[in-house]
Amino acid sequence: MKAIVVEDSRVAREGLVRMLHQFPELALVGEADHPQSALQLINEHHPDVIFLDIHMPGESGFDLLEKLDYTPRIIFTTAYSEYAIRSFDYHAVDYLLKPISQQRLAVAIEKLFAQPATSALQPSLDINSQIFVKDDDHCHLVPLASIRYIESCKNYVRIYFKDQKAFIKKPLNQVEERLPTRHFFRANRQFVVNLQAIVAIEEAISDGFVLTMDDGKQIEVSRRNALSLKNLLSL
Amino acid sequence: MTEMVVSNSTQTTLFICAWIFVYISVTSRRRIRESELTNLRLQNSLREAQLSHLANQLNPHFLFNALNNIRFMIHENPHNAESMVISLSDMLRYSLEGSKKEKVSLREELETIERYLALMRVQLEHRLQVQMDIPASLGNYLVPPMILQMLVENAIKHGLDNRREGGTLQLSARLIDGLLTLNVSNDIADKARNTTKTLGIGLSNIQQRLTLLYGDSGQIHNNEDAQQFSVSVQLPGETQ
Repeated sequence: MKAIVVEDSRVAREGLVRMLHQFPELALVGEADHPQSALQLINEHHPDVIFLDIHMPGESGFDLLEKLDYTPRIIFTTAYSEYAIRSFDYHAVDYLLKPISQQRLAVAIEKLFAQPATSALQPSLDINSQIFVKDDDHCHLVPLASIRYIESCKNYVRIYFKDQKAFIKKPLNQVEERLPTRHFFRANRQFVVNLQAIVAIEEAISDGFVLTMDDGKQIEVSRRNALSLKNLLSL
Repeated sequence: MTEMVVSNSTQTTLFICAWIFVYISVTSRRRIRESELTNLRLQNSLREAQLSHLANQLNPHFLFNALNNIRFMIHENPHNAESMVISLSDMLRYSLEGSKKEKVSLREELETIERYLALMRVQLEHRLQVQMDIPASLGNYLVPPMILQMLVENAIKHGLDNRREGGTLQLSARLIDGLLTLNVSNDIADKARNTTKTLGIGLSNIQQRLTLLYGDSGQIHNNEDAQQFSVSVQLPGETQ
């Protein structure tokens, strides 16, 4: 299992790395002192698990998670217990308080191997299936095919279907994992679109595309994702 | 007839005397109560400052990070780990009991600041640069405890620690025309500062203490430009 450590204090980072060497089942592929350098490392190595500090200069560990294209397993390491509740939103495997004992770390790593990754648990849905959405007092049974696009709002997503919209309390990355890839496409960090709901594609000024959806909404396709859109839509 | 006049004037004198007595006793009692009240207010605000400082100092983030660093420093450099334990205990002692005094020497206050900076240097390493410009001759001058310390903590917490590259903390003291001026300044983060509110409460608390201790001659001012945030405290130069 590939792991990286993100922690701004050098002493704490090297100390944690030293502790992790006791667990040969983990392959440490990198360490970062800031969310920005961590993002590069993560995109390069796609680690299975991130040991993540929360409070870092100018940007938090949560900010980093919002930017990822997939959902790695997270073990938070922090001096503060105040973020524990928020860590649930990110489906953290564990929440370790500094100073971390070797025994406590062993428990976290045991959990890591005991819980299979979420995506392996749930297969992706068929385009003909329906999903149940409870938004405040309204319950909706939404056919997947009727969803135009899905917007990421922090830890939640908002789905746009028919002439309605509703919130789902899951991050976009997780929702995306369950969608059929032949029908849904990740246009950019914020939007997943239904390919059937696109009515026009135009080239954008900056290398990507601009999609016009059947309700008139325009969504940009980032340069990175433009190529996979071309592949999806070619003969 | 004259007898009556005399007795009348005696009566008037007596009446005036009684009235003066009542007046003086009432006003002096009021004055005593007022000075008692000022005293109480001073004690109260000092207590408040101690409490808020204590809360600040024993801030779990600082404390647990320090403990975490000490723990790993034991492997890395046992000698450093030892001095970190000493610094931390001295700091905690100063927080818990040393702050009961109304005034301490600038030297004592600077000793605590040095301990705090030593611990923060392990956490922040090259991200914390300190420029200290305080003439040794000012060491015996008296300052209210923990004001300078609080300003240094704020400068790191709300300033340097929000910058990835860190920055410089400047501390200076001057005695000009019998007035002692202490200045703390730091580089600030480029992003909008979201902590100005708590900072404001800290600064107004300090102003309140200065006013109670020194009247109009105790002042605190802050100043902010694109790169720096600075706070200066002015108080009458007193020695032990």
